[in-house]
Amino acid sequence: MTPMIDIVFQIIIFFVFTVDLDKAKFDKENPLPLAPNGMEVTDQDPRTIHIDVNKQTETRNIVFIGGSPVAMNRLAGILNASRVRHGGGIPIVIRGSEQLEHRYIKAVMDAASEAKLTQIEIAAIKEKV
Amino acid sequence: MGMGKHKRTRKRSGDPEDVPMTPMIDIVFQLLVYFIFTFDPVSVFTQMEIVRPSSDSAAKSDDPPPEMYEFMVQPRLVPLGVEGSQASYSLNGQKSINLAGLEQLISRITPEETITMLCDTRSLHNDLVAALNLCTKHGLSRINVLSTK
Repeated sequence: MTPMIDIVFQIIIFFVFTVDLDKAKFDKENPLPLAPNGMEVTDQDPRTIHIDVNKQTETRNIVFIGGSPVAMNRLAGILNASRVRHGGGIPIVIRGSEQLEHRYIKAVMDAASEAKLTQIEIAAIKEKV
Repeated sequence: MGMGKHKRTRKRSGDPEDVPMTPMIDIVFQLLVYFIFTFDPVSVFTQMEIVRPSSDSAAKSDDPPPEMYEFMVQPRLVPLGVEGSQASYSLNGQKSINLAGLEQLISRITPEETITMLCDTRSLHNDLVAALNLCTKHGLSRINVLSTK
């Protein structure tokens, strides 16, 4: 009986932690805008690049890819390298905080266009947890 | 008689007590089923696809541009979070409207028509997303997003 209970507990622990992961994605200082009518995210291209754009006035790095800060002037080069390595048509998901001015989003979209990546999606929160 | 014999054997093997496992396993399975059914990570976030027209594609096209609805996303007069702050838009350079006015206009547009969201560089990202949200609500998917210089 003991091995079975061990496995069941492991599965419970997995679900407890992965449910909480979604809440951890909410950055309280940089909340995403609300879009209750947005479509649910279903099958996503595994090559998708998520770019976080946060409101930080006094630092150069306001863009993050996978949690790592990226200087804005290097963003186009990084995206271009991704396109060369993984092929064109890589979706770009821009996760900008609600209080951000559009010029920061524009800079990211311009970098994507410069890297010839045209599939751009804007991330938002469908419902608050 | 048989149970007594079994108990004696267990005690001799070193177990301090014979704990009934079945109720605990029942509860554990209940928890497991609950988490499996409530596990829905995709419903919290949404991603709205936009088109960012490049200057190259515009130059190559010889066709006259089709009639489009160009909504300008304007900067807020009062900062977000302060009382009286509201999103401001305008259609084809006409007078400013708020989000409710924007929805009225968007509800009249058919899904075959193209919308352009022209964002002022000082406008809030929140207001662009609010406009995109209304487009999705009314089944519009042909959305270009442009920015002012």
